[in-house]
Amino acid sequence: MKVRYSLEAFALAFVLYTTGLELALVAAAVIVAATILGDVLAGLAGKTVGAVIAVVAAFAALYFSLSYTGLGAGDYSDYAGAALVAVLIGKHVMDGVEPASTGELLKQNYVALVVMAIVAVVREVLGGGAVFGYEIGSFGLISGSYLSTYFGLIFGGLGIAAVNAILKKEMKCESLWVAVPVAVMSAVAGASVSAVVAAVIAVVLLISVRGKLVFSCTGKYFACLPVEMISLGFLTMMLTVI
Amino acid sequence: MNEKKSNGFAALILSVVVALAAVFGVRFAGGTAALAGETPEGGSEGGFTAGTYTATEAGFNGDVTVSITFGEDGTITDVTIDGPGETPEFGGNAITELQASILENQAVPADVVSGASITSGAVIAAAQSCFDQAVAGGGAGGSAAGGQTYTATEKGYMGDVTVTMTIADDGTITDVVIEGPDETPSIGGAALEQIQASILENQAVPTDVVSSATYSSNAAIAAAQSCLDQAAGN
Repeated sequence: MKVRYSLEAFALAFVLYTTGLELALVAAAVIVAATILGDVLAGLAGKTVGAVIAVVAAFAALYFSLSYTGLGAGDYSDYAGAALVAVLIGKHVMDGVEPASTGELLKQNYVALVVMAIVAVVREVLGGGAVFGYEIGSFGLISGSYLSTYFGLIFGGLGIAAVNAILKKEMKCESLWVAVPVAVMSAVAGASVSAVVAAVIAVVLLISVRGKLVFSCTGKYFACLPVEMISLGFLTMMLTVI
Repeated sequence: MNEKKSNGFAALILSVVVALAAVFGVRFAGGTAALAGETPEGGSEGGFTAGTYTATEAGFNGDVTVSITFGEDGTITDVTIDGPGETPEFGGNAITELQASILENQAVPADVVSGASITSGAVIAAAQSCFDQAVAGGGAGGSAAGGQTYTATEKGYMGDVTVTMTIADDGTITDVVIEGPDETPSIGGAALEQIQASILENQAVPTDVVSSATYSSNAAIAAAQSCLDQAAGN
């Protein structure tokens, strides 16, 4: 059975929106609502209509939520992130899956939300010694690096694998749907030639690595997207020296 | 089919309710949101003595210095926040956000920026200290007689050296604070104190370095000269 939660959108959200529990809860809740909206409308008026409305609704809701809660960066990256996640939600709707019961639909989506929240807690504690925006203390393991994009990819891969394991889902998917948006966001945020070069190199290396990962003995829930996200995270980490 | 449609609607309604709960819950209960100055610490209408006030607090990776300038009508006309040791993409972004927030809302922010709670806490504490100084009518680090404060940072021997200089409208240097927390206390630190006193006494940036503390001295002299250049530019 195919997954009923927007896998690629959540994978990208794991990277972009797990720097804090507040941000993760808001983003994940909006993604779930937009995904379900798209699925419902797809069943009523066709996949195309459902996808278009889901994309528009997801973009608007995500951007508004980030602005209203003060969690956004306050610059173009808010637009870019919301747009990319919205597009991936639209892709999920266009892929079209068989109708599912309410229980299965909600279960898959909210398992993904809960796992995303847990990942956000871990990153926020390790990255800033805070939870839900409230400082809990200072200890030796704290490092701002945990809030960087490469750790977002690593933790995101682990998170998606955890969601797969809980839901007992295996899937074939295209990790470039996550890798390219992340590379674009990193290049734009870096705002320099070296950042663009690093982003391009990361994607090229990922394409090269993917062919070899087929022969690796990863667990079945790590196969495909999770292990490729983790690989991209390590590649990006090494390329940060550029 | 009708059952699946109604099931879909039920899931949609539930998910929308959860999303709204998440947004409003974070907005009003989160530690980061409400940077619109919902609970301002002190107002800026009356009660504040005009001038520039400076305060420093320990940030995530070094000191964070906040300078707030109050106009004659008690409004905040300028905010400068310097945290050279903070992580640029987290603490640096938080500093930018909080600086804009203080200017826009004319109040000390009530909440930290997510992911940069320590830096945010330092900024908020230092900003509150500036407000307290302004309410008290000036004091340490402040300038009740008006004037502009300029800040510059240069690389010293072990770390950054920050000079904060307050210059009155008539060109008099009314206050100088030189900080180099990473410099060797007995050598670089002593040199910075010497240079600080020299600037105030002679009303000029010294030309000679302090013996055995060349790097620290050069950093302080360069930063002080940069402050004067900023003042000249204004």
